[in-house]
Amino acid sequence: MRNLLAADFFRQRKDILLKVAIILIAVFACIGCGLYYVVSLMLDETELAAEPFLNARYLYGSAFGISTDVGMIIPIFTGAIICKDFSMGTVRNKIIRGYARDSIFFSHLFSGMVFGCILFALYAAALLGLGTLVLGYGAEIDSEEIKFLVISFLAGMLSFAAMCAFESMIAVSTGSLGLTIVFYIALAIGLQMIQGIVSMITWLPEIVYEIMNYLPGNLMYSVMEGSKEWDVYAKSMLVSAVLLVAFALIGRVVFRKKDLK
Amino acid sequence: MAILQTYGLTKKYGAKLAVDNVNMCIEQGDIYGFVGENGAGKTTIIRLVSGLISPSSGGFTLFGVKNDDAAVIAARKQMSAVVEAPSVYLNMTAMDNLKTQCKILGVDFVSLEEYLKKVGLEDVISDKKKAKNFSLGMRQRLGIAMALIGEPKFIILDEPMNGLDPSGIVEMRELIHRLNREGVTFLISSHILEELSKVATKYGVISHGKLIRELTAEELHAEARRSVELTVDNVAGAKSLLMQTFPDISLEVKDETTLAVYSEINAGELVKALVTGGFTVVNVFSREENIEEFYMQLIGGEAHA
Repeated sequence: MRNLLAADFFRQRKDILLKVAIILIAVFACIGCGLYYVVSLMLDETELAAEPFLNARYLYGSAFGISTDVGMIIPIFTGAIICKDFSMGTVRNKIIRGYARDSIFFSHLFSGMVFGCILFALYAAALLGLGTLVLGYGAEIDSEEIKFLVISFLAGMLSFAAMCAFESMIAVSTGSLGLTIVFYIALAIGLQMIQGIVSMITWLPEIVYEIMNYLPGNLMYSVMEGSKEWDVYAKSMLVSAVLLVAFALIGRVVFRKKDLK
Repeated sequence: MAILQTYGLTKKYGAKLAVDNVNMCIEQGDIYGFVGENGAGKTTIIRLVSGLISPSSGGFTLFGVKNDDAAVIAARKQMSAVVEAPSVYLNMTAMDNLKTQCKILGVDFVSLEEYLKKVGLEDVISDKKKAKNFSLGMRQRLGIAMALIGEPKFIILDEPMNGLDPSGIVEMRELIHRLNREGVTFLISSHILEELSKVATKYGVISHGKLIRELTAEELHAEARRSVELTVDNVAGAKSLLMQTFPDISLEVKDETTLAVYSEINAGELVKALVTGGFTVVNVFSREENIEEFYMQLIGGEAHA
């Protein structure tokens, strides 16, 4: 497994996708901060003080969306990195050279999650850093605020890791990069649609609303508000962890039985 | 010692039998030539042995380990294979592909240039050209170079001559001979039978998923039909005359001027009979059936069985 991980990380470092993703993330972070800065220039001091959104903390929260601009870009690049070995047929080489399918699947899953989480971390850090520089942080930075940043960041990492697990599952099932990305987009948008529909129905069991509230995409709203209701983050992390394990297990079972061309 | 032994190996896709009860044996040191028409089941057997697909029934032992034993995964560390398209990362250079293979196998980046030289890719050692810009033959060579890393004892090559130019084919043949002398066992599937016959020490002939014959190169030589080929001015007349003169004769019209006689009849007697009958004999030579003809005869026999 260690050798496989070393090979996967080596492959990622050599892949142009990593460079392109980092450039795109930097561009989006600059554009996001730039637009907020332009809007802030249009407001006078009184209006600016009353405006709760023109600050780095709010911008930082926008990094947590799984169906927003960069929230979509990160999983697309991650999906491409995970899927390449399956779609190009290079995964066969690892089986032929004596690796168990479980080891191969989990090394892809883990290296893909690391790739996705690094991109998310870079974007969140860029928004936070640049935003603070040009707009100010937007709140007093005390121990509670640092706790908020750390916990929300960990919750965000876990939600992106769950999405990577979903992509790994689809990658091994279909062996197709295109389908992996299409399924991801369908999941990200579909979850929001289902959530919207569920919120309009009043007679469903309470657990359904609970799950809907803590799905990966919803974390964004809590972070944008700077919510310090820690149980929200705990539940969100729990739902992400359950999804991650479920997707990983399904992917592992599928890959174990799959005939490779 | 048997490197690979299959017993009743069968693979079904739905109702279709892709591999049907195959029993084959590859001994250490063999260069096993896998012969068969397109879709005969050669690649499916290679995939089964490589662990890419699972048998529907039957099985195999690899280095003495049964395929349903978890230890077969570790046994595969002693083998390598290039199955159909080589497992090459197209967005990487040749050198980076070799480095990735080293990482996978957990070996140091030592003498990587030598692997490229062995397969005739010395020109790309310090080249920044990505594998996606390589020709089919170059990718094939790179795939084989990657397969050599880790010093495998058993190498499976599926159509290794695909895309290679004539000098590449000669180099590949020499490489196979050299590695075989160093103790590497090969399973090679190829539809270029003439080329295969220059390296193979044993053959497995497969048709419609069934192994119809397994024989050594010596057995093939012993079984190959010998013929006397006669070039005459009138093939039809000569054929008719020879059939009248030698009632038990077995002969075949090869083309508009050539007759092949497979019976054990002295060439002098054949020529004498023809000349006496008024025919002009332009050329006479004896020859042995090659692998292609042997294969066609075997497949033909199977088809008519």
